[in-house]
Amino acid sequence: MPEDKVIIDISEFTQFYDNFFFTLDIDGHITSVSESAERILGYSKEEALGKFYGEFVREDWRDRVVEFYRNQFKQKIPFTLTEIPLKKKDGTTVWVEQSTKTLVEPATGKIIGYRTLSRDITKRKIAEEELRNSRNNLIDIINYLPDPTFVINDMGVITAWNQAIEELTGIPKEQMLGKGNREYSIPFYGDRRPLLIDFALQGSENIEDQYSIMKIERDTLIAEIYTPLLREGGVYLWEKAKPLYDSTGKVVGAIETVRDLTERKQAEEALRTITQQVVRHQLALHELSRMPYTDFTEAIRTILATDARTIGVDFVSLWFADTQKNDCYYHHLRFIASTHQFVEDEIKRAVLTNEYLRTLEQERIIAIADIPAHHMSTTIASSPSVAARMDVSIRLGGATIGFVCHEHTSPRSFTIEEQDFVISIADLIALSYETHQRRIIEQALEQQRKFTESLIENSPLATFVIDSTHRVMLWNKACEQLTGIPAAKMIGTDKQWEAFYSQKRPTLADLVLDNAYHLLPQYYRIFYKSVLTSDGWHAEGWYRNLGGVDRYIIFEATPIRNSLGKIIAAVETIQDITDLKLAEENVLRMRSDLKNIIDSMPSIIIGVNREGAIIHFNLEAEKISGIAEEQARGRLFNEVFPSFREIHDLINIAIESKTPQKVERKKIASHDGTRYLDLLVYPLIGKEVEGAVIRIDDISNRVRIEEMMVQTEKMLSVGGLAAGMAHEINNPLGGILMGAQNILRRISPELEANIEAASACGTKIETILKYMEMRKITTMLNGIIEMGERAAKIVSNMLSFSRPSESRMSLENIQELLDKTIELAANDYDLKKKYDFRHIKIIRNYEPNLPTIPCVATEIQQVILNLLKNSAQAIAEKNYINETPTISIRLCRENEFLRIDIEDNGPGIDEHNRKRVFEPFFTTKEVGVGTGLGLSVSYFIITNNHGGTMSVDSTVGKGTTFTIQLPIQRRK
Amino acid sequence: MRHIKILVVDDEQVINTNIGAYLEDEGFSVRIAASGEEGLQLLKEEEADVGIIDMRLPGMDGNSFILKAHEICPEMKFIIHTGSTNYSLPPALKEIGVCANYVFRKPVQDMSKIVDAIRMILEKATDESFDH
Repeated sequence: MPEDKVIIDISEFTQFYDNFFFTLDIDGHITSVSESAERILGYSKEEALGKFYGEFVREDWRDRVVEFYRNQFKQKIPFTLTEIPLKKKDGTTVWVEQSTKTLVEPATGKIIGYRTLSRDITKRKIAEEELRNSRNNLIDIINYLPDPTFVINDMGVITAWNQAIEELTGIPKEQMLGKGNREYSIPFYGDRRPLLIDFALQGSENIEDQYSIMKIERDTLIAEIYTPLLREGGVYLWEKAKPLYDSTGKVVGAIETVRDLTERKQAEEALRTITQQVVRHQLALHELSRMPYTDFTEAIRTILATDARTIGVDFVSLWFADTQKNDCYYHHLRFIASTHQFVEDEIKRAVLTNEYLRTLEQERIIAIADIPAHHMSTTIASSPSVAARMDVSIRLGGATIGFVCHEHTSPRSFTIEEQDFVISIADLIALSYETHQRRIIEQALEQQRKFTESLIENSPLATFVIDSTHRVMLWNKACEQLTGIPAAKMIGTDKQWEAFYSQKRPTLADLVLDNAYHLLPQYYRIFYKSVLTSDGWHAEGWYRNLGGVDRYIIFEATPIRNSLGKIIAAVETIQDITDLKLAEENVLRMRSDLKNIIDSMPSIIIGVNREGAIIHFNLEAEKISGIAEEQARGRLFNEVFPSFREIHDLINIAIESKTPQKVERKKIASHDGTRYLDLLVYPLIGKEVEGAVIRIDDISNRVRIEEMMVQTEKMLSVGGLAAGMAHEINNPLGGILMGAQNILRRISPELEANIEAASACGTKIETILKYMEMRKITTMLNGIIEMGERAAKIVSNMLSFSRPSESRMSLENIQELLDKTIELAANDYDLKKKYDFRHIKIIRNYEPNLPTIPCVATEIQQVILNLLKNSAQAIAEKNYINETPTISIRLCRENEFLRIDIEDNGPGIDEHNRKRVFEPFFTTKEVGVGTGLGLSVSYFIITNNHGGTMSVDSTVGKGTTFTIQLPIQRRK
Repeated sequence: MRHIKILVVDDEQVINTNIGAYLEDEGFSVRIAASGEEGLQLLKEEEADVGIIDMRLPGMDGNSFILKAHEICPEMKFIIHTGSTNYSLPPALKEIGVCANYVFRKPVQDMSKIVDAIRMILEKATDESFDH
């Protein structure tokens, strides 16, 4: 084939932009290709030439296409038109419409190859695809519509038949799809007649004649039809049909939807019947409610008869609950419809089972269509002929007070409306019952009211009552008398204030009526909640010139409430207690005077009644007991003064013997140490013994001072004695001591005179000394010296009681002095005396910023050291098990004194010894351990030399505290 | 060295004997008197350097004795040795140089203290004489 000829052929088509062509040899290899092919497919001419054409077909189509063309060629079909997908170089698809012609060698007629013209139809293909998809979607939608629906095309062929219509007609879509000739009419009518869908598709002049119910909305037709075929009893259908258009507005088919209306139609029918019934019931109820109330029994009879007639039962009976037993009902009345008669008390009582009762209370109503089939185990004697029954409970205020029983001799059921009706009947009975009860109560109340009014009217207590509008309802005789205003002037007015006040203001009753308690302080000085009534108020005060006289008045006002708790009136009583008040004021004044008198006394004065309860309690008693008079009054003496137990016995003795009882210097252990009391219990004798007055004087301080004075006097006498004795004793002591000293010297070999004297005696001084030592004479001489020295010390100590301090006082820091002394004491331990400061815990507690005081430092130090040693020695005598041996030293200011406490937790000192510790020569230590003068000297130093005090307090087993007070200012 | 002459005046014979014995053992020349009057008599016979004088004496008391003795022997020094508990130096004695340091209270437990006092009092006297 000449090359140029082919080219000419090709040029015919190059004008078409979307076209390209190529030629193939007989085996399908590409022999030439147009330039446009390169643009559309992306392969260059060089890439395409010589390739097998199949390589350019999309893979999933390739085999099919190659096979197809092979068959074409084999059968020598000269021209084919196909649509196939080609694969572009970039891998995407281009759909082409291919027309393929055989190339024939004109001379031989032999096929030498093929020429294919391809047109790009990708856009069309995609559009077709989308269309197909959307059609499928539409069919899916139709298929799942809840309403039975089918679609026909313009030829009347069924194109959709959904699931709902399959269910309605019982015919699957497989039997319907694709059928024409009004096949769809058969399930509905049994023959091929036009349906609403046909009219929608084709239109008709007289469709309205075809349907009893018809509606046209533009192109949409709506109709209701009845078909006897679809179900037994026939089916009401609601139909809706509409033509379908294509994009150009051309009718291409129609769609019809049907809906089963049967149930709705039946419901409508039933509703109509029920409405009629309800109307009848309402009329009956209306009639009953308009019935004038005459008599409860009459009302009940009418209601029961109406009930029986309206719902059509043979018997209606009424039962009331037995208020005594909660499962028991009394028969009240029975209406027999057939004879229109009432029977009373036909059966005495019935006991309902708990279950039945509970059901009746919860459900309100029990309707039983078939009695034998029901397990109702009630003893209500339904006659055997009763076949149906309905009980409805009667409720009042939430409680079941009875029930209405409906009985019918032939089987029947009770509709909801009938049940509603009998509930209304029961409510009506409840209403009548309540009215009936209320009337009874009202009558009783009226009687009660008249009774109360007459009671108030004749009460000797002045009383008035105001109603809810503050107008006086009642103004009794006593009130007339008290106020001087007659009832006739008051009743019906709101001028009750005029009786008491010169200006208009609310009375207590007005305030109570208005619940205006917050205003009470504005109008009354004394007021409080009434103790007589639960929500009443009390007020009192002087009213000058009331009824011409000054009066002291007590008002009591109480609200009166109705059964709902609402205040509807207020009653006020007025009491003139002027005389009482005057007496009371006198008593108060006297009591106040008396109180002032006894309060002013420095003694504790306590009045008790015969039972020992406190009636008077003066200021001093408050001070000592720490209990206020208000709290003490009425309590027993023992409770207030538990530590003064002995006094209670005295009170009893005084009351019984009617003679005053007196005890002096009674020692009492109290929280702050030992106290001394003078006690006097004086019985109060009126007509008989009425109680006693107790006078208690705390003489502790006096006793202390006395003790001190005795002590000081003792010491001064010792001092005087010692001073007198000292000279006489000191001389011989001097002689003894000097003599002993000389003897020791004169047997010493160191003195020349001794050697000479010994030699003159024909011996040697050494021999004499040896002899002396051998016979222990030197030891004895030393003993004389030692004893002599001790005697001298005793005398010297004794002398300190008389000798005025020679040392000059200076201002000393006591805290430093204490610390120094403690340090001194800590170094002073004595194995022989078995105490050791190192084993004792020393606690110091000094108040800061104390002033310096005038004192003789050495003397104070001597005193403190002495006390510390005493404590240490005492501690050594005690076995410590659970505690640590401790000495506490406290220093603080107490008024014009510095107070030093030295407390040990040693064995303590018993009371007998405690009194004597400051006595000279008193000692509890073994003979030889102490001189018995240490504490007395200390005492003397503190009291005599420094003008201070020194005392001791001790509890056996707990420890001992020595207290020193030193004046901060020097005393003259 | 000249013996230092001591006069001891005490009505208590034992004390006189003992002080005398001790001081003699210490090398002093001691005379003793049982009363003030006797003491003055002795001083008139021969002066003394130091007197050790008891206060409570029969007849003339210690204070008076010292004042009189001072008149006789103005250079004589005095040590007071008393059993009295509340003795205080009268101003008249202070004026003639008696001082509180040389007041001994009975009983004197160690007589060496008296010896010390004697030596000290004399030393002081010597110093004073130098000063003059």
